[in-house]
Amino acid sequence: MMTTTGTITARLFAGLETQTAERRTQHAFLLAETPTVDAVVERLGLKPGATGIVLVNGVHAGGERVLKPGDEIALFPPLGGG
Amino acid sequence: MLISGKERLRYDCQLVLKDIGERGQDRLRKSSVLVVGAGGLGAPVLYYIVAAGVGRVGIVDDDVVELSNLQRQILFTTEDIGGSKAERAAARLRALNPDVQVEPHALRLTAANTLDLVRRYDVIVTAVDNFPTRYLLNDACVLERKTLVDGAVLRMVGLAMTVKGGETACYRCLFPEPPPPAGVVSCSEAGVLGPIPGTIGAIQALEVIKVLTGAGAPLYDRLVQFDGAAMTFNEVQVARVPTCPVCGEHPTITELVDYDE
Repeated sequence: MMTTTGTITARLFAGLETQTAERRTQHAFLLAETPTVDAVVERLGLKPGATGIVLVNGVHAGGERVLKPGDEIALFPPLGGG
Repeated sequence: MLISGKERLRYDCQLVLKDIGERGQDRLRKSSVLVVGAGGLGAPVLYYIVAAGVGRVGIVDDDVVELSNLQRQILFTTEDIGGSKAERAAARLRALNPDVQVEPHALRLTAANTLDLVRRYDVIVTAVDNFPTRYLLNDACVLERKTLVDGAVLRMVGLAMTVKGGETACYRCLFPEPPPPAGVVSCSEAGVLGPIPGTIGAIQALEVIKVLTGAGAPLYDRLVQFDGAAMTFNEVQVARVPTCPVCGEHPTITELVDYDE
């Protein structure tokens, strides 16, 4: 059975936090409220296409990825300038 | 004796480093590096690897120098405006260190010409301003088992990572497909401060020297973020993905792909 208790953490990198209302780089969410990567992105108030690299515990994850307690999500904007 | 008297003087400060020494200097001299992009990132990368005595250095850039480049692209001076970036960069770098063989390539990389060029160098540096070329080089380095030193900047932040093709996490492990062109903002649109690519480019140059000499621990399976506003560095551990379309167990990309910019 899927666990929906516990928390997950989200870290925003490379200036992505400036695209959120709170402008913080670290967030903790209740798993029950943000069960997937897409739910975390939505909860942060990020627009579609705002994220580039998305990692869960250091490994690429799609938006539909179902999260587990203690998961660490790292979100980056598409950063390609040089 | 691996090092001549003149080299001993030029490279004195790195020869005394235990991690480099004469053996490391000899490796640098026998190595070749291709730097793709002679812009904000490419300038510090090129300056430092040529100054350090990498034997052969290729420069790929098909642009000409513009006035708006000079705020961050420190290889160029006002007199270079209108000239080929690859050629002007080569001239400046030959003046810096005539012992280095500098090879300008004033062309744009495509799926048709990238592999040929990548095969001719030991290490490849991504100092580009667009995703299509970044993916071309990532895929070429995985297919050819080359080491790629990647960097990217925007506004006040930058990222760097080093990929040992086929052995450590590649760019597609983190970001399987390029973002839609409409969602990507460039440095000219969003802005960037010169020292941001200066910092990331210096990190990339250091990575090249480390990879070539075996000194230190390169940024394999690690993505480093520099936030120049907060003045912080953060590191995220990353991992290869078995389903990666180019370096995974069943790759779907077995030749290079041109994407729209």
